Parts: sequence; structure tokens; C-alpha cells
Amino acid sequence: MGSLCSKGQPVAQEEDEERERELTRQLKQDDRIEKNVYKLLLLGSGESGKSTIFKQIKLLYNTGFDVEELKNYTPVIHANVYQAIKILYEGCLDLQKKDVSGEYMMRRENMEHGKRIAEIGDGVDYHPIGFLESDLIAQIWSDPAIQATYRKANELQLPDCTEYFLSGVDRLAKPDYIPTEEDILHARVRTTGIADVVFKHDGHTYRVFDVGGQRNERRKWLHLFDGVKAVIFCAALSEYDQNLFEDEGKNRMVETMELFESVLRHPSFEKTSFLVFLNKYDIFRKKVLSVPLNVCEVFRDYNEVQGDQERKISHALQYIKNKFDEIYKRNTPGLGTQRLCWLFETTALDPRIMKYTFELVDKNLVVSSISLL
Amino acid sequence: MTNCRTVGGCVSDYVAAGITFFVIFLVCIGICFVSIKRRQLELNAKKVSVLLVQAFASLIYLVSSLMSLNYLRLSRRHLWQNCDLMLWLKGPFGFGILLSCHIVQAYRLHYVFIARRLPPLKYYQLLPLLVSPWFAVAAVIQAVSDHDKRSPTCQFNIRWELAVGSLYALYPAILLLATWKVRHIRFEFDEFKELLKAASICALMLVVWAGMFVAAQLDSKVVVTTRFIVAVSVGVLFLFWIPIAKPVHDLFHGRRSNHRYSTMGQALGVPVSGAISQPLIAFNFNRPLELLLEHRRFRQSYLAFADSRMAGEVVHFYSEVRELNKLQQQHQVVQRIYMAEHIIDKYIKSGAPMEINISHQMRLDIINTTDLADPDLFKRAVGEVLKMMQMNLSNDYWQSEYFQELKDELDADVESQQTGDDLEQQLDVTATKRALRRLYDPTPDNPFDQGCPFSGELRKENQPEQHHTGESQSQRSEILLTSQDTTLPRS
Repeated sequence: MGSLCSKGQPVAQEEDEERERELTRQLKQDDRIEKNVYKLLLLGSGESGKSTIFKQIKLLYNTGFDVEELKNYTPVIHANVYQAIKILYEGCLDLQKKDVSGEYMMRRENMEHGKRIAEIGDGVDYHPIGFLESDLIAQIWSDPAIQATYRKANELQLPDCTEYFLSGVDRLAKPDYIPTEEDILHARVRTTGIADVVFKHDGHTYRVFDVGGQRNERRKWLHLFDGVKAVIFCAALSEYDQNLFEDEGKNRMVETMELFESVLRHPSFEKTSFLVFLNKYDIFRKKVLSVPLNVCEVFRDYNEVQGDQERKISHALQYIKNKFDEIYKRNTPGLGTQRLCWLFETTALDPRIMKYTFELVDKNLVVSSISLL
Repeated sequence: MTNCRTVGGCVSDYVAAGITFFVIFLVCIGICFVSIKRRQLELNAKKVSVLLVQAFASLIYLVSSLMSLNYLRLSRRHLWQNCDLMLWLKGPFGFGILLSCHIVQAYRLHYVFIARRLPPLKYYQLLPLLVSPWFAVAAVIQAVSDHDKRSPTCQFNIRWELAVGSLYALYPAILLLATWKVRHIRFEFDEFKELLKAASICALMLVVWAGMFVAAQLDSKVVVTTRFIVAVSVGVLFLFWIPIAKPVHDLFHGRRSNHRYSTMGQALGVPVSGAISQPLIAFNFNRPLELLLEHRRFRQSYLAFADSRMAGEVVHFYSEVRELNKLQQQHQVVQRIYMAEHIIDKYIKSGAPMEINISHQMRLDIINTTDLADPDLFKRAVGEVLKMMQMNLSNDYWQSEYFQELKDELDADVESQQTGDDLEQQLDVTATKRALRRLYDPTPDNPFDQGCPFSGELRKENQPEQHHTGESQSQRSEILLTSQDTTLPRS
């Protein structure tokens, strides 16, 4: 089971424990001061879009990002580009060895360019993308072999922002480039630790916590579990054909479902409502038409419907929603339950969809808080 | 005298029983002590479970040998005076597990320090494998042998005695061989000494047993001597205390001298950062993060911030790899291996207590390394961790109260330094000059660069970079300046 706190701490050090106790105490104290604050947690496995939603909340309800903060994202975006090229290049080399058809043979000059860019990606220091680099990157990206590799992105640990950044790389290379809000939403940073944001909306104060999603990060979640008003559980709809970043032997969707189950079962959440954000709906819509749902072992019993695209998509989505709903019902006592669960399909990158979803959430929360209190 | 032999209760028997009880008592205390304090045994942590298994095995062995030899004059027959039970307790559960544990430890040392890689089999995989022949032999004997099951002393057919005897001889032989192979390694925590002790005691016991066996076959009149030898062998059993003795000793010793190592680096004698007495005036926050982290006070402040964000493991990992990289010399290979193994156990393995967030492939590459002493073993992970710090933590750090505190401290330091400046200039002009040069001219003999894990490469990369990324650096200084004004109070 790759779930929450399944791994114990074999050699927990006393000092670390002391430190953690101190931290938990502090967090609890904070909670007491802000008793009338709605505490929301963003949970979910790695790359499910928690931080993107966190950024959306900042943009929509907090101060947003000022120019300095926007500029701070330039190195991150540039690093994303190098990283994407590095993964594509190395993935392409791997595929070359396995596949003799020549489909994955890069043009010779691109081999050298790829190596160079991958080396920069490996480096520790920030290396801004200049015009030279952007030309090389654009060339590599347009190579048919790299494009063929990109079509197999689900087998690589390639961030979802790859196409978005690589197809407009010359824009990122300009000396006066300032990331747009859209760029920032796309930028991929593997969260480690815990971040929080406080905002006021309709007379209520909310405090939202963002966390890392990989297995090692999940043990830190426990510190936040007290007095949570609602859990926003993120799951990426499009991850059903991908494997975990931290364990490539395991399907992401399987992990997410196990994680959802163990979070539901946690005693701290007996009275906590769940908002399940089925994220990356935009990618899912495209993927589900070409990759059948039943490649994933938990969706083995899925039968595709005949009909037009919309029908196929909505059928597949409904199937996944039912799966999550089933898990929720299985882990919630039917009678006298004090919690509720809502499922939303979302695209965290789209501000309009997120705004609409948050309004819906807000309405639901207010209604439920009246009924629960 | 024959009476005393058959029913027990000779003087020597009571002496032997007394000693055995004493040893049982000691082992029990040891087990309790180690299991209560197991968290303090940071450095021997991985061995604790083997140690406890071993201690329990020796306990079983002691109790069963006490019973089976019928030392005590017991009027009634008891359940435990059953030959089959003794066969199992003494053989597989006692001596078998005990020796196998020793071999497991020798196996680990051999793999880590001679083959320089992590052992492919975990101890809980290897241990059952090693013990299985003992169980197999015991099972066969119980099924086939026609011995007197009700006699507590258990006289077997000579064939079976030989089969058991060969097992008893084979395992110490393996242990001796393994010990011999690691004799050249200069261990830090007396591993070789312990192995040697265990191996030699086993050998000694075997000799005593063989002598006993031969004497009993030759002449039944030497019974008195035999029983005396048995008493001696029980005395030898006293030394079964050894697996548990070392950690207990360490704990007591550590407490008395109030000298417990909190990190592996300290235990291995890695010098603490050379930049302790670094004049804080030389602080320049536009330096790359990995150079700033060389400074102890900056590192502490950054670490406190990362801990408050529950992302401390990345900084801890970075510092420990930094310590590892100080052990560069040829004769420090063994220390490097200790340190590398410690880091893998603490940060890399999945489920490790402070596991860092790196990719599956990177983790596998480190765990399956063929050279634990490889200086580049953690290089990619460190790069990844630095990126994580830069992307996740740094921007928030510059705006945090931790950074503000550090800056206030530095300002106070600078002020106090300025008041004593005149005196200092008179006392040591050259030192001040050196300090000034350090400020404006980052020459290679800059103490910042000394002991830096990647100093060689950094120096190469840094100098051209000064022109190259001048823009981005000035950007950061701008951010720094504004961050003072707009410091957000952390709620």
C-alpha cells in the first residue's frame, strides 16, 4: 500500500520528533487564534494539480502576483523548458535502442544540441534561455523523432506544461520577458513541504494549505489534519495511463484511489467534508479518445460506448466519478454521517472554470456549515 | 556420584547453573535496555533488530541448555524435559539463529565495505535462508531418529550426532572465513573486533563440545570431568553476552562522558564547517545558493525556515552530503562508505525517515550503485535538491522573518566590528586587508570556497558566470531590497 503514513519511521530521531512536536503545537495554536477561520486542505498524489489550484486561489481571492513575483518565476519556467528537453532527449535515446524502425532517429545535429541542452538542464545554476538556446530548443522540439517521443509522454515523467512552453520558446527567451499569469499557472514546481494562504471572501476567512503529493511528502500532512473544514482532494483525470514519479512500478490512478481511501478513513476527517476535484479535464478530453480507459488496472471493467466524441467523453467521466463516489460511500458510514462529498471535473489552468467551481464550493460549504453546525 | 550424574545436583552443576542464571539475567537486562533506548542508537540503528533477534536466540539457547543438561535435581518430570523440544530450542531457535545473525552481519560488512555496494538481500531475507538448514535437520531428526524421546539428555544415534555436529562446525567456519575477509578494513565502530570475538568463542565452544563428546564415548567413568567441562562451557556461554554488550556499553559510556554524537559526520570526525569564524561582513546575498549554504549561520537560518515549512529534509540532506564530500582523501574511503550508507538509509531509500523527493530512477541509480565510495554518488540528487530549494523555498525565505533575523544579526555584527575597527587595524593590518580582499575579490583562496563540495566545478563555472548572469543577480539584489520593505508577516 503506497498510502498515507503506511511507512513507519524506523529510526526516528528524538530531535526531529521534538521539532515536529513543536511545529504541530504551533500550528494548533494558530488554529485556536483563528477559530472562525475555515481551514481547507489541498490533498492528492503528485502532479494532481494542487499547487495550480493554490495559485488560482491566490490569483482570484488573494493579492495575486506582483511584477516581482512574476519575475521570480522566470528561472522556474526556464528550468521547466530545459527539464522537458532533457527528458524528451533521453527518452528518445532509450526508445531508439528498443525500436529499430528508425522512427526515433533524431537528426544528427539535434543529437548534439539535445546533449548540450540536457547538460544545462542537469546543471545546478540558473542558466537563462537566450536566443541561441531558444533556437536550439525550437529545432529539437520540431524534430520528428522528438515529436514521436512526445506522443509516448505517458511513459516518461514529462510535465504537462511541455507543449505549452516548448511551442512558444522564443517568447520566453526575450530579455524583457515577464511571465504572464498563464505562464505561472503552467509552471511546474514539485512542491516540498507546506505552504498556506489566507484570504477573505463573503465575510468568511479561509486558510488554504498546499502540500507536496509524493509519498515522502504525505507523512507531513498529518500535522495539518486537525480542525479541517474541508479537504479539497485533487485527482488528475488524465493520469490513468501514467506511472508514479516516485515509483515507476505503480499506476498513478491506482495510487490516487488508494490515497483517497486512506484519507477518507482517517479519524481526523470523520466530520470533514470532501471536495473532489477531478482535475486536468482538458487533457482527459483529448486522451480518452485515443487511449481507452481500461489500460488502467482499476478501470478494467470499463466498456466504451459507441457514439460521438462528446458522448464518449461524458460516459468515461461519469464512470470515473462513479468510481470515486463508490470509494467515498464504502468508507463513510451511511447512517448519521456528518460529512458530505462533492465531485467536480475541473481544469485548474482555466481561471473561468476555477472561479465557477470555487463559487459552487462556497455555496455548498455555506449550506453545509449551516446544516452541520 | 553416579547418582549425581543421572539425576543432577552435583556441586559443579549448581555453579554452572548459577553462572547461567546470571548470564540470562544480564541478557534480559540488555534486551530491555536496548529495546527501550533503541532510538538513541542512531548510529547502530540498523543493527538493532538483528541485535535483538540475536539476544533472544541466545536467551533461548541458555535456558534450553540449562534444562536439557539436567543440572538441577528435579524430582518431577516437566514438559520441557522433552527431547524433541530441546532439539528445536537448542538447535534452530538457539544456536542456529544466533550464528546466522553473526553471519548476516559479516555478510553486510563484506558487501558494503569490500564490494562497496548495498547488499542485495535484506537481513530479513537472508536470515531465514541461513536458518533453514537447521530447521530442516531438526525436522528430519524428529521424524526419522529412534532416540529416547523422554530422556532430557537426548542421546542420538551417532549418525545424527554427526549430522548435527557438521552443521555446528560449518556455521562457525563460515563466520571465521567472513571475518578473515574483512580483516583489512579499518572499521570505525569495532565491527571487526566483535566479529572476531564471536567467531573465536564459537570455535572454542566447538572444541569443548567435541572434547566432551569424545570423552563420553571413550569412557563413562570420565563423567565427572565431562560434567565439569560442561560447567566450563557454560562459563563460556557467559560470552554470549557479547552481542548485546557493545551497545549497552556504548550507551552507558556515552551517558557518563556526556558525549553522544548527533550526526554521522561528527561520529566520523568530519571537521565542522571551516567558515565558523568567518567575518560576517563578507556576506553577500547575491551569491548562488550553494555558496551561501557554505556559511554556517546562513545554513542554520535557512534550515530553520525549511523546517518551519516542513521541508527540512532537503537542507539536512544537503548538509550531510556536504560533510561526506569533505572526506576526500584516500585513507578516508571507509569513512566515506559509512557516511554514504548512512545517507542512503536516512534520505534515499523509499520509506526512509527523512526521505527526499527525488525521482524513482534517481533513487534506483543511487541504491544500485557499484561503488559506495564514489564521490559523484549523490551529485545528481544534490542538484535536484538544490533546484527544489531554489524553486520552492528561496523566494519565500528572502521574505521570511528568518531572513530578517539573520540580517539584523549581521547588521549588529557589522556595527560592533566597526567600533573596534581602529584597534584592530593597529593590531593586525594584514588581517583587515585580507578581509577586504575577501569582500571584493572572490579569489580561489576565499574561505567560502574551501571545503565546498563542488568547489572545483563552481570555480570554473562561477567566473564566467559573473558577467553572464550579472543581470539575474542584480535582479535578485533588487528583490532583496524590496523584500525588506514588503516583508509579509507570516500568520
